[in-house]
Amino acid sequence: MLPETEIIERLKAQDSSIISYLYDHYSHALYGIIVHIVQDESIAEEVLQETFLKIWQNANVYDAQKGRLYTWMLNIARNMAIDTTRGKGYKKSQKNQSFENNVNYLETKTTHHISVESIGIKELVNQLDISYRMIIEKVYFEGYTLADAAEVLEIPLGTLKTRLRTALQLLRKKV
Amino acid sequence: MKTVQEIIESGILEEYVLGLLSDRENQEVENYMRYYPEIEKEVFEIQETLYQYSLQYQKQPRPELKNQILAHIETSKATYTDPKPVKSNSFIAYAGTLIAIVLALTFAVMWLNEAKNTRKVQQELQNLQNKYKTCENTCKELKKAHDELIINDHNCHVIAKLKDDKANTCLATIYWSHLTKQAYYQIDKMPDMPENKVCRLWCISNKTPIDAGILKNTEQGLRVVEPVCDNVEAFAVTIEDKAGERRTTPPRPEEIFIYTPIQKK
Repeated sequence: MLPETEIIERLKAQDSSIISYLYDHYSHALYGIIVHIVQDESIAEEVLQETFLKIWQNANVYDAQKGRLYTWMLNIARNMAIDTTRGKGYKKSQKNQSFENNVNYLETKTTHHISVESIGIKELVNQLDISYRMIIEKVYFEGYTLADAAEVLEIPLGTLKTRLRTALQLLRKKV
Repeated sequence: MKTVQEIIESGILEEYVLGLLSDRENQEVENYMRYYPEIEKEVFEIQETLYQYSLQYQKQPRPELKNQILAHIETSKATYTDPKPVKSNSFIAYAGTLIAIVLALTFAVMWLNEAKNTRKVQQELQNLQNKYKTCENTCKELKKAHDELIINDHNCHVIAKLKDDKANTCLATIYWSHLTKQAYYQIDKMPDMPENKVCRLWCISNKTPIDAGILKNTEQGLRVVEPVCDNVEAFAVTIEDKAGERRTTPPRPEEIFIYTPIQKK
């Protein structure tokens, strides 16, 4: 692995070879969460393409004091995917999906191609109580505000906040 | 003032990482990160946790997608179109085009440098403004803590309450601290006054009024009563015409708004 400082330097200098490197090392992580959010592989491919373009174009606004490069890239991917699910085109395409496609999709969703290293992570995550995981899913992957998530999950806002913090602390211990 | 531990336990850092805060709150957390390494470490760890969490969904895209994406980025990089071929092959036309291209490129480079410098200066200015705001807030919090320390100390007690009997409110409270050997005042509620009038505080010592300065609406927290004088027997407040900060003539009876003798302990 190249040192992160070198990657950032080359990215900010608009050295296009670094995009290829980033793709090789992070596309699986970014693509995975995009698919998880948009629930459609062809849409996910478009979002991944726009994500890398944004990483390339916005390299100069990346601030290492606010977080690691890969977490910044992950946030771009996550936000673009969430924005896509809120777009008109997306809603229409989801409505037009046949029942059969939906069934196939749900199967895909539960049987992702899991790499060897992600098996451990998945097991760790599965040890988390479902009520905690639901909160992370709603807030982190579906872009719900805390108030909206509390309403959907039918729990008081204060409880949701406490659970969210506990969930992240439990995960931190496991990761 | 919140301690680092209180900030960490408040849950604001998790909300920051999840992108749930307002711009102002984000700025607040980023300031904390800048000044407290423990908070920066905490934020980075939360980010790392969520990254690790999201890895459970990792999935390899189909192999052809990489070249497609790289080509898309290459295409977006092409910001200019090729100039049309020069129809005339005369030297002057060719040289003119060449000069125009060189000039355009020179201006573009100059503009880019300028834009880069402007961005850098803007960024530095923003950083300084943020630091200034943080210092300002810290000063306010320190002042508050300082005031509370003095007031709550058992060596400090109230020696006068300057009451506005007409409005049934308290204009200011005067404290004496045995610890610092100083008198302090804290404005509670200023009376409504015309634009051209001010309120002035007086210490009455040996039956002589001594000017202790103008009371201002904008003053928050404890202020030291100056000048320090012995044997103060009372405090007075006058409502008088706006003039200078200090007054050398004694107050006229009709100007006296409040007169309060010192409470003996």
